[in-house]
Amino acid sequence: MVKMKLDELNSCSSYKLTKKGENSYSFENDEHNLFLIAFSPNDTILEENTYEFGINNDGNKPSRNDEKLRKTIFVAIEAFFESKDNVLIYQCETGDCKQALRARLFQRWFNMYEHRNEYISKSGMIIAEGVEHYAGIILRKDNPKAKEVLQLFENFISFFNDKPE
Amino acid sequence: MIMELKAVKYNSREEALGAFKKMVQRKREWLAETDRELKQMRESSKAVYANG
Repeated sequence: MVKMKLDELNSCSSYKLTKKGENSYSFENDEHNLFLIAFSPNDTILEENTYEFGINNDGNKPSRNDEKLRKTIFVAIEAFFESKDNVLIYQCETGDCKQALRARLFQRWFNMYEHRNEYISKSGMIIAEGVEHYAGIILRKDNPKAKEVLQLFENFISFFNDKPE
Repeated sequence: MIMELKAVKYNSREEALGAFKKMVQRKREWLAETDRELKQMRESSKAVYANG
């Protein structure tokens, strides 16, 4: 269960977050693009403490140079990691074939994040049914099971890197 | 207290592929649902400005 306090989030966030549902928030940026972000339970590699991060904006309008957008997203991610046991995974949408661009953008944002050294981030490519998918995992370095969780992620990705039997 | 790790075990590529396809499908459903929410939010926002 993720417990994120909206008041605390908004005291640090560049854009004002509005709660939309459990672990889901909306905000509008300076270009008047609306965004929804969510942390949804995910049981692909672990049965608990693992959530998938999602971000959607209306019309997929690009806001690549919006520094406040990046900061707002990482304020939410930082709040998610209040519990050191939490594990975050993500996948990049493939519907418009821009998944590689999204993966690079998110990695660039993570590399700019001021507290990145407190986290471990790994990403990988999964080819499934002829489509390249990009997925990643982020967890706190002081997660007591960090090594094992990373190994599980790498084992999962390796299923798709080996040639089919 | 150190958490107990409840790992999901996969015995084959097919099992892992099945799990990944479910994850992709859930993402598509989430995107479709949030597209609708965003459209509603945009329309509400326009109505507020119009009635300004």
